[in-house]
Amino acid sequence: MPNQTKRDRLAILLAALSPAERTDAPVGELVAMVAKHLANPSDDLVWLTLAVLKARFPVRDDVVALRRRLRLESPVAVISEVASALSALSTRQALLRPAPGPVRVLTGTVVVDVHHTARTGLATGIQRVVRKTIAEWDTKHDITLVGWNSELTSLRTLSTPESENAMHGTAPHARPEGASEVLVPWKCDYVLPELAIEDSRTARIAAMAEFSGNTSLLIGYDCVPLTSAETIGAGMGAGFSRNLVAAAHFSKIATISAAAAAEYGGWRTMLGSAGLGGPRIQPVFLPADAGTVNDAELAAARAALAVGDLPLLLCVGSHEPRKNHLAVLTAAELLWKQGGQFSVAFVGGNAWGSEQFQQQLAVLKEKGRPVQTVTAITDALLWGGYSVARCTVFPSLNEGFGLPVAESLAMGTPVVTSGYGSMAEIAVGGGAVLVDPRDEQDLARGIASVLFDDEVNEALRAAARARAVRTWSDYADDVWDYFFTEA
Amino acid sequence: MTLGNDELVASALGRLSAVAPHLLHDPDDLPSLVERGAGPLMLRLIEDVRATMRNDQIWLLCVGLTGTFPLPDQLRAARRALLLSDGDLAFVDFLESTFDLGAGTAGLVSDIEIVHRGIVVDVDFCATHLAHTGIQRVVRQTMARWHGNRDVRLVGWTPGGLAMRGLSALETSRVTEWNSYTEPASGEHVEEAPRFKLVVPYESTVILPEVPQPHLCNVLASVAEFSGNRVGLIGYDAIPIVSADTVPPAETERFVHYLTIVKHAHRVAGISAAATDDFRGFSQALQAQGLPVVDSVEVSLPIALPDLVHEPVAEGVASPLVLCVGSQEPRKNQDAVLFASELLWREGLDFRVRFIGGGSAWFTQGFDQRIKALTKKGYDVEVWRGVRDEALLASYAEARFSIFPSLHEGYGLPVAESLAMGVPVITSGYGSTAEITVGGGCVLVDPRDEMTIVEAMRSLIVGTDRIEELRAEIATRPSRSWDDYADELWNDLVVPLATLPLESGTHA
Repeated sequence: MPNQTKRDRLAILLAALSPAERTDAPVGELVAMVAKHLANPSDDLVWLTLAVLKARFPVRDDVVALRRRLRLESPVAVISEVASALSALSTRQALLRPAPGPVRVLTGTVVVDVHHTARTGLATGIQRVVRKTIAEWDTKHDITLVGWNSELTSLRTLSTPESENAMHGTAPHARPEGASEVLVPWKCDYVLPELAIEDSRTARIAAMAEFSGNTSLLIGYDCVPLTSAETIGAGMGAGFSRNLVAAAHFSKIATISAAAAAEYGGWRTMLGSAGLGGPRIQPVFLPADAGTVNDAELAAARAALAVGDLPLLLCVGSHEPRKNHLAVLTAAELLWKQGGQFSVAFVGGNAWGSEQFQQQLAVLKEKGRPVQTVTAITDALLWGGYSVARCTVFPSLNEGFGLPVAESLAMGTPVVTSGYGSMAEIAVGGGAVLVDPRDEQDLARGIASVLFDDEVNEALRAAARARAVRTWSDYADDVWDYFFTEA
Repeated sequence: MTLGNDELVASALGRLSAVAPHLLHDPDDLPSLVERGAGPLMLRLIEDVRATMRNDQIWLLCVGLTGTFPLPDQLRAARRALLLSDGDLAFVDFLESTFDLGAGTAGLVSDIEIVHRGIVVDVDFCATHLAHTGIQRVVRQTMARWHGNRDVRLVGWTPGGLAMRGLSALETSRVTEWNSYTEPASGEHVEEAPRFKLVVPYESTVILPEVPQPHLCNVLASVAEFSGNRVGLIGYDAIPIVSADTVPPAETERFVHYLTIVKHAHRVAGISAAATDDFRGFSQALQAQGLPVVDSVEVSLPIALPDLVHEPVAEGVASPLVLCVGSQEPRKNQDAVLFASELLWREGLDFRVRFIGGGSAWFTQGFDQRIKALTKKGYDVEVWRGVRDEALLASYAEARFSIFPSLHEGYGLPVAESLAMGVPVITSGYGSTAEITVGGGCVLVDPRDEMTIVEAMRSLIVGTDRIEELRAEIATRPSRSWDDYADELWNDLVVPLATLPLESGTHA
């Protein structure tokens, strides 16, 4: 693809500003025609001008600075200078950064930003929500999947493998192909279904949401970095807060639970001190699909997770402090010391701050307690594990949703979980025992009732099986309706 | 210094004797246990605490044993040890769990004083630093009024943040007599390396009028969550979250860790209605974690001058002075003032602009260049940095009006200062700055729309009618002093906490 010239970009900008005008004029005339639109300009036009002429999305200061210049100086001179900066760039800086691909203005479509999901091999909570949702949308609606360029300064088209991976996770090492187009949304709906915390990206999303006139829509997972900083690693607090700075200018947030809506709602209250109203916030509850598992997979899961014929207590999730796995070990040991006959299996990776968990685990293993850990999770092991377990436990301190609770119940296996927040919301449908996760004795009581009392266990299983089924199709439809149908 | 075993044991016995009355099921046993020594006393205390498993008692036992306040993880480890150990081995397991805690050693030779059902105020930063801007001014003005008049215990922290401690005489002066005490000349050695008495609040009210330093956040979060003390704070703002794009990332990181104290605290007094809403919003967000509401109450700062007498300066023959006070940074929006000024200068209006305040080089370099460019064009604009209060007050006296179109403030001190000086103000029409203007004397603008700033400046530069109106409004504003603030803070933050019924620990 040939590089675009200054004239090309001016013509593209003019076509977006005023579709009726001729764009085949010489540069000088084009500058004058563009400048006419930018005398005392509104913010959306300033944003569009910068994004198109520079092939680089502006941050807030860029928009404000150009707006002020256009009010102080001659618009023709200013536009001429902005348009020329792109050719000046191509000398020295072109050596340092790849030339941007051709700019294309997208109009009147739904643009879905899946920059991270398109390129990751991960398949944890957020990626699953993104993939299931956009795959559903893709079959029913017209959407454009986009990512960011390597400097995180502009939206771009995705390569075919990237789109594949975004929707199905089937091409984990997908890369862009060739010089992708720079996509500038104009009078579009911009959807951010994943978590963006890179500074360059969030700063540009913030300016786009505040100034561009596009409607911005977010799926909100939780505000843990703000409300539970003691449970997160360094850097996340600042990165997430800048994500929130962008979200402040969005139109709507669909949170994955009422608990997450409470978190975002509290944050929105805080915006008043900065004179901002913030987005509408509404929970759209996540579904949980039951996996299928064949006999061989079931046997393999039993071999990997169970110990002899002991009833299995399964705990799914990484060992970060927020998941409270130390409390699970403590409760289990309380029960073992009382003579309880059962084994425990943890399925999930190590994470930031799991040292104390590992220490306590080693102590229990040394004592000969039947406890296993598996860090490499496959779907077969996960669904097999839920099927084999007599009970699962998920006493997290703070969750946007608590997927393992929903999954366990979808598989008909009772769960012991925290008696508040999203976990209590999921439990409303039946099949769960609620406990205070900060009280190991209460947790032990809850586990004991489900593990050792056949009547309780059977009643919970029946309740879990009777739960209403909510599918990913339901979820994707509900989010779409909230975003695009509701006023 | 090498410590003898005897000294360690004596010190331990002293500390355990101090906590014992609050932990023993039968306090009458104390004298005989003390007579038998530190070991038997400790054994009994562990046994009694283990029988109830109350977090506040576990917290106090950790402090008594080690002379160090436990961090949240350390408290939980001690709790696990008590839960999981078998009978007599509880003793060994508990000691082992607190080993890291005691390894600080400083605590192991400290004497402790329990403040039971009292009021403890943590003024660590003001006691040990000479900075005197926003927060320190609030703390020192308030403590000057509480100290001696209210039954409060001012405390700081031992080096490394291991435990609360009493203050030296000099430290107390720094906090309570800022305007009258004399700081010893630098290099002059004033105090022996202090061996402070540790101060341990129990079933007390702990007030945090400062934003604690980062190394104290975790230990204070533990005090708030586990110790059973009622914790109250002054809430200044949530700028590092809400306006995270305007501060360095490290400041946001520090702030989210500060919030780990707030989430377990009991009451926050916001310095403005806007700041109060910030903390109320944060408390709402905590529902998702099943945590109780952190009560919030508005106790707005007063509109008062720096402690200086000033001579009024007559407005001279020079062109009107527009004063813009405050640190120079993007959030304060000085660039919008520059823009509006340039536009008005081009229109032919005659006025001067003076910025007073410092800033970080990453911003001031560019700002100074923009000032220089305007000066070159012949416009009258200047920046004063590092000036004393006298120069600040003289500038207010000279100014026709001041301008403070900040994007986000917890309070907006320059607005209050300007009004206290009788100088009209142009400021942002929302949040805390809008609150201050309610009594009159101000023109409100939208700081994100520089054309509203242009209009407001023009209206005050052209002609003097509007200025006279605003000055008249200021004259009728109700006054509110630091005395008022200190009393209200006491009544609305401290009293409600001190009169809360005691919980019997956070776990049954």
